[in-house]
Amino acid sequence: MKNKKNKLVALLVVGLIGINMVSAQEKYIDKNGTLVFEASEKLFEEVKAENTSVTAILDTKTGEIAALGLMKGFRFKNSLMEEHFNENYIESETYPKAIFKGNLIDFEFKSLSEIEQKLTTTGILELHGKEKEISTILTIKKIDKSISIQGNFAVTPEDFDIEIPKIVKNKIAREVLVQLTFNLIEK
Amino acid sequence: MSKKKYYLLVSLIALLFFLALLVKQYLYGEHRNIASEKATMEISATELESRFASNQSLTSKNLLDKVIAVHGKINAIEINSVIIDNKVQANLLNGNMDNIAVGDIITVKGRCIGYDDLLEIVKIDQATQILN
Repeated sequence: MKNKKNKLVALLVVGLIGINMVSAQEKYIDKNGTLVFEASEKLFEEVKAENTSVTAILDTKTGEIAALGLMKGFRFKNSLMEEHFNENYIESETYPKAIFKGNLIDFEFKSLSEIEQKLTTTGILELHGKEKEISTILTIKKIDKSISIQGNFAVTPEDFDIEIPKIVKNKIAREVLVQLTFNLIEK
Repeated sequence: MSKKKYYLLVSLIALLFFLALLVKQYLYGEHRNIASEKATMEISATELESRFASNQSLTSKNLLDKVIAVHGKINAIEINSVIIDNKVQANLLNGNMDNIAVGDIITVKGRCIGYDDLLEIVKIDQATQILN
């Protein structure tokens, strides 16, 4: 009787560990991802900002990917430009974040390796209270326990109803190039 | 040139120089130095997160860009950030990671940059440790 009980407990423990391991392997997270955007025009001061505390989550079971960048987290070289970005253009007090939710098409966790893979992602980027569909190709590889994701895409201020005043229009590029670098680790 | 005119010219040049300095200061002013600013409030990590969770837009309006001091227990250290009570992520200014370990009770001062509802954590940047 005692033996049976012990066996049952042992089975339960093994089972629980097993369940934990399965659920632990599903999500890869980066809390310090990098987003850089640039809208510089030749001959004018560079319009570029970097955010190094972007959150990215990848569900390795489904290939779902989500990223969140806080607007106040974007740092410019020029403090006045940073102030204008927050107050006049992105209105970060009203719209404090940008969120992307999408899917990595044909994602297969098993096939990840140290060799770079190119995968298409499509999803919705929400910013400044507006949504836009984004589709881009990401470079993905897995080294040890971390998955690295890199890529870029372009958007325009009009996509998100951001008005650029005439007086600075020629100093800001029409297309804003966004670069992303995530290093996700198992959670 | 009379003496009067000479003085006028000199003061005009001085004024122009001063104005140019002001304009330069406005256009290319220094960034805020968060580490030298005083915290506007002190709060526990758990309390801070629950304020955002219960009313994001109001708390954002009140706290974004403000320098706040947050205390709690470190439950993870990742790159240059400490995670406090799983509710706050404070990114420390470079070179401030010494003498910090998981399990420590810590107070940090930094700029509140907002609420991450994917992970349900509040993010703070340019943080420095406050030693009690």
